[in-house]
Amino acid sequence: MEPANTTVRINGEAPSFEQVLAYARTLNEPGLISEAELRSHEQATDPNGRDVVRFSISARWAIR
Amino acid sequence: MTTAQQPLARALQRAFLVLQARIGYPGLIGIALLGVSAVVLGVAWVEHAKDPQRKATAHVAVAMSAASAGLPVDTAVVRDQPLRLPPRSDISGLLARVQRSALDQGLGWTRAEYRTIAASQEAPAAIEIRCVLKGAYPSLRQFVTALLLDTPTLTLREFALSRSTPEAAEVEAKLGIVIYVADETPGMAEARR
Repeated sequence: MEPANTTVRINGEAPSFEQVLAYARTLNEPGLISEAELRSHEQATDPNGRDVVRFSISARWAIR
Repeated sequence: MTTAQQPLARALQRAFLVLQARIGYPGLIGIALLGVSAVVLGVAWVEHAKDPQRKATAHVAVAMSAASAGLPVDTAVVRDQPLRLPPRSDISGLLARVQRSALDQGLGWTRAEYRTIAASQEAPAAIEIRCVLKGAYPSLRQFVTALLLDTPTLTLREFALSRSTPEAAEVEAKLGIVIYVADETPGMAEARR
């Protein structure tokens, strides 16, 4: 999180690339966070052997 | 002609005669043609740089004609349509289409980096995608062709192909893709929803 410029970076894992995009769309719905944009994605295997997509999203959070 | 102009005219005439003696009429004609082409180029460049939107259209038209070579696409119809930039809020949809094109060609969509570029006076806002894909050359070619035809505001910024060995059937493609989008304020995006 970068309080100075109100940006937040979200790193996570999702079962598929489609779900990463859906998550980014959800973050853009009116709320505390806006301008959520995908920065990177990479297919990987988690410790349980499942295929996952690791991703990084940057967004802006609103100060109220 | 005034007395002030006479020395200038004589100097120009002398210079012309010296030049003619050195390079002859073919050389003079060549210099004249270079001058004319420089003027034509200058006028064309000024017209081209006037309107960023028209510049983007020209890039798309070139990309479309290159991509559609050998494909049954009526490019005249495509060119006649005005260029409409997709909204920035639809970036997720655009990325899904790029991923779908890669999967359709059996290339996978394993890793990519994304960067948004703000609009400037020269160019509209854009999303830049950098990725490395591996596959057969025809698949990579079809992937790029499909992208250019599917998304008119998409351009290729980098397209570097390499093989690990001369005999290898698989090609590694380093791609830099830019999709121009219409920048909009959050209020505009909300209003459209």
